Amino acid sequence: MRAAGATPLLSVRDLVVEFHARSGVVRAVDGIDLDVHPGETLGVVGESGSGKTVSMLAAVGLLPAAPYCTVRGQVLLNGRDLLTLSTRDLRALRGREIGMIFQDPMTSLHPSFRVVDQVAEALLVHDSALADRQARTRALELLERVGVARPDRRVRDYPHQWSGGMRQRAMIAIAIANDPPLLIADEPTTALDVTIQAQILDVLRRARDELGAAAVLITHDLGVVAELADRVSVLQSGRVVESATVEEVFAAPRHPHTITLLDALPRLDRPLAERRPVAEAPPVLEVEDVAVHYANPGGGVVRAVDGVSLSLLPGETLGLVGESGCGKSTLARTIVRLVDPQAGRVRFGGRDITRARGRALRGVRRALAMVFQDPYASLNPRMTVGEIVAAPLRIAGCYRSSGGRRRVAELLDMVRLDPASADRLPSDFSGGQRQRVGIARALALSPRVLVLDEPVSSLDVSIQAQVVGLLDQLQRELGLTYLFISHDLSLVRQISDRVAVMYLGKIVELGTREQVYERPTHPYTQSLLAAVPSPHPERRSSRTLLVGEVADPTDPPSGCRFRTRCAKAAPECAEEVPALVVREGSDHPSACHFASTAPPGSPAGTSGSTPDAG
Amino acid sequence: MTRRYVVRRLLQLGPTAAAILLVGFLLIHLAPGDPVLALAGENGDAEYYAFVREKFGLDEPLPTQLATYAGNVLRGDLGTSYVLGRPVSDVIAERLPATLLLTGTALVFSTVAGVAIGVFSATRRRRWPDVTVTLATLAMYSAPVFLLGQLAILLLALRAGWFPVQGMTDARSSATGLSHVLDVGHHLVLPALALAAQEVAAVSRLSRVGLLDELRRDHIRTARAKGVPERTVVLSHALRRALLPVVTVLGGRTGQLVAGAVVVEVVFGWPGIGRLLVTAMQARDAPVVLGVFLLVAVTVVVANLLTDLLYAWLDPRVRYR
Amino acid sequence: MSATAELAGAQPAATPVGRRPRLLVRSLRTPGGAVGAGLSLLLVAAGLLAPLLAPTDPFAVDGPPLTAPSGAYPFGTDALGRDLLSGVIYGARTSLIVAASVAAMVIVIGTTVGLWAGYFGGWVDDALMRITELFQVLPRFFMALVVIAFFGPGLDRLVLLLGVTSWPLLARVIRVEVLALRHREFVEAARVHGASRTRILLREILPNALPPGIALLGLVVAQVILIEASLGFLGLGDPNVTSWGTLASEAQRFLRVAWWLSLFPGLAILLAVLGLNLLGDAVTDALTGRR
Repeated sequence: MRAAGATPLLSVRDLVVEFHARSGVVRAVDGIDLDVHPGETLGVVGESGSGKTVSMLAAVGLLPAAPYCTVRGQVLLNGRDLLTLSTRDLRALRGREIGMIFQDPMTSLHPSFRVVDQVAEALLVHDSALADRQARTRALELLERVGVARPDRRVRDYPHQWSGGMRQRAMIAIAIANDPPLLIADEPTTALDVTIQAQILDVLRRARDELGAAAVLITHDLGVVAELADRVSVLQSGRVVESATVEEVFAAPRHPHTITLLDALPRLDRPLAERRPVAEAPPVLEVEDVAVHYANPGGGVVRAVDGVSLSLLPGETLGLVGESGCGKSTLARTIVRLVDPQAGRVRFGGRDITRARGRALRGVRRALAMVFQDPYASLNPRMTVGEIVAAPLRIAGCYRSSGGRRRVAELLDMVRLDPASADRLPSDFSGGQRQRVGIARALALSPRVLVLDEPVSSLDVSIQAQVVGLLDQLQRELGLTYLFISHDLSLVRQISDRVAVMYLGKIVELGTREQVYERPTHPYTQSLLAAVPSPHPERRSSRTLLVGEVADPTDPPSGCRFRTRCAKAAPECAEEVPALVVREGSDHPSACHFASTAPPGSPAGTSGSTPDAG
Repeated sequence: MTRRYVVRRLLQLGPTAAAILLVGFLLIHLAPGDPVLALAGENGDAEYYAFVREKFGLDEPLPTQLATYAGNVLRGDLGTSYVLGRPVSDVIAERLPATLLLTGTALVFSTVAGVAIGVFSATRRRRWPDVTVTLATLAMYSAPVFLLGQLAILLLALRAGWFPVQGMTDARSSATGLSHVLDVGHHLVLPALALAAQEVAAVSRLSRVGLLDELRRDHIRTARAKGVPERTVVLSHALRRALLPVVTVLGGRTGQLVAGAVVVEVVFGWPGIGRLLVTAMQARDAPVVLGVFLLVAVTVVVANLLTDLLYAWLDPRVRYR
Repeated sequence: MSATAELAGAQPAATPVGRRPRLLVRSLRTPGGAVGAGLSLLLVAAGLLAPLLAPTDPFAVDGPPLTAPSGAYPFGTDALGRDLLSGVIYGARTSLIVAASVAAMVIVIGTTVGLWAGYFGGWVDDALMRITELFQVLPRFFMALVVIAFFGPGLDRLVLLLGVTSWPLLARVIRVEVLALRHREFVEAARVHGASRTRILLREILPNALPPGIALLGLVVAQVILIEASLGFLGLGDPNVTSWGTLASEAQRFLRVAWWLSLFPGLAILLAVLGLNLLGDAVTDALTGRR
């Protein structure tokens, strides 16, 4: 290793990547320069299509070979140009001098090989003298090092038996197996829940520090960059538009694109804009003690929603936050009658609609609409955009009376799409545009309530901001009531009047956004908020990490469901289910026996090495 | 779990077998004319007709007849060929080895060669060897078996003289020992190749596509990022799951091969059940035709069952369900 | 809302990025798709226009027996002196009739079974899939042989039998598609708006489930043509029509002296089947974006 600061460990010069498609040549990376010095972490930031992943895959020779794509330029690792190395030399170098971690832990491991063997293989391919037994022993050590509890008991496990967080730990174990001087992590936490993300980032940071390795961290999330990176390169359309230290980028961004990204980023520390006061009125939608259970294909009954009560006041936005599998989407689907609950009632405008049929149900369907998460799955690919938006009108039998094509044009105009595009197919539109089509469809019958299920989660932050802005404006203009479901705490904070936090099928805390975000009393809410990466590189907190992972929903813990991960857990938590009520010393309901604004003390595991539950 | 899956698949065998029997039974009775004529031929004497009537219970009500028929078949009694005057089961047993040799060789060869070609093609994707092989296999896949057989005879047997034209053995060679084996082997080459051609094509197309799909997966990228040699990536990491579709069609291919064998046996004068079947058809020897049908149907059903079990064994996720 | 509202306000009316060509166009643009479509069209044209295209009636004795291909008889003549070119052209008609009728039956049965099994699930699915599996393991070729053995040869019964036994693959593909589509968000969107079951099945699900089935249909029909030809080759074809398989069966006897009797009918089958396979592959590739 050369002297730090002087010669870069990895130096990318004028890297160009072109893909050759039938329709022509696409230049995905357009002359990129990057430098990574020994021991330094470079954050490579950009939105989808900016070329951030492609450039790093090209650098290590993991893109498909010619004639599909061509790579030009120079990628120097310790002075050797990777682009001119023979396949053989490049292979010998991958895994030994560069360790890589990829985005989706669910697909990154081979489904038919045992996890331990996959870690051991990383050692065996670079050391022919190593015996299988030794490799396996080393693999178990590595797994233990990245925080897999008792790996010796999991020797026979296949990846499908592990959770996403654990698989990502295994990926990190593979990456660090040969003590490489350089780690490349491509969106390592994007597919994970925020509490697991915090754990994985911690593991990653410690692994990097223990190795003294340099790292390239590819991400779309500026928060993650602020947590981990020393320097940042911002990419846009295959070019580096800004390169600076992480402090500079956050304190004084220079390039307009960097400024846009920073502005669009929902963050917990931004001052809250005033929201219009919600008029005192009877609730428009009430959920009472709803429970949804369904048979798990693998056996047992999943208690997806287990006794939830909520109400929506006219004109307000109620944010519903929780991690994946907490039951928030099931609750949304129950409200719009896609799922029938086992127990409880849903009232709309005071009328019980839980078992409504025929005419009564049709009335509800007009007044209650839904916007879905995936802009690629939520539009019928074989219908034109006009047909899609008109579908609710046709189903309700009022296409003609509502104005036909004129009404469709009006709706497209409302979501700021060119009305002339009504005869186009969804495949002609970008993700953000498709999501607007989905919103126009939901608005077709002039509903009073919109249920928005992760409506912007799959969009880039800048597009996300546009769609959220549109939703906000529509709410004001049309007097709509929103149930806004999201896993993104910063986003929910930005647009909600009130917030409900959900964990394993139950609401654990409910209040105005000020109450929930500024004075959280449930330990889960507190941990969630602490886990959000903060865009303050200068304030890298040694924060409290939530230990373990969400318990098995087919066999939730007795009493308080959060107790298995809770620092405040006491014997009574296992016996008595805490009710969602206003506790002493608090101004809003919280389902914790020990609800208090004091953060959970210093729990057993403040580090990511804490064993996983399950 | 595994055992439950096996038991469930075995239980499904019952209805399938029953349906096959029912098809045979219905055909006898739906055919125009007196069923006894269908079963005993048109030139039998009154005594023989009476015997057949008695044996199949043709004077009884239909359900009883069905039971009698099923009972006979389950006992291995497939009736008597009225052309050859011998039990159908004996006639079939005599011809079966030749067909087994032919189809077995073709099945093994097409699987091995097909996978090899598929791997060769997929690892040279869209370059000229791949394009050539893809076109060649597609042509092979589309060619009727008899065309390939006839062309093989014309070019390799008649013109080049490398292989015998007809039959399974040379009349002049000894009937035992190594020379016999070599003789049969020599006769086997062309029919087996002609029969295997379409299956080679099918398997290679399937394994090419399977491998290409598999090579695109994230876990393959992980393996490469680890520094696993490309050879191991293809042959161990990718091929393992890429071959699952090849396994899935094993059962179906058995049926295709047996059907192809009928044609090949006629083209090459191969003395198997295929030729027996065609001769029986020409002689309107219904018991033999029906017997061969039942045998083939049961074979295909069992082959499909074995395929499913093999698949479950190979894919841990099916087992753990 | 500070920055976000401004961003939204500044957003002009969005226009689509560009028009993607329709599926059929995309599949026909590939070399394989174009050749496949060409060959399939040729089969249809030859079948429909046989009387106009063929020099003579295929059964008419037209010249000296076993004439090698020449200017007068481009494909030569058979043992009775019949023109082989006319035979091959009329053979296309037989193949076309078989292919089209079986395809129609397969579409109707396969789509209905697949749609019902996939959409209704539960015991309906179980029952339908058992039946489908049953039909799938029945050896079609041998069924056809048995039917001919008991009923005598004929196109009508052959088409009926192949139609009734060739749908399982299509049904399974459609079912898998429907299973995947049933809970897709756009179908749920239609449900949220109260769409009837018929509308969901016919408007939302079927148009998306059908293309993979259609792609498969090419392959299924190709197999059917091969089966018909094989039966003809074994001398079990309909004696009243000219069929490629029957023509090739005559070649078997004269293999040593008249290679053309084997080659041309065989090539005709190969090209027809190749065309259908290429077309099916091209549509599949366009659907999956694979190449």
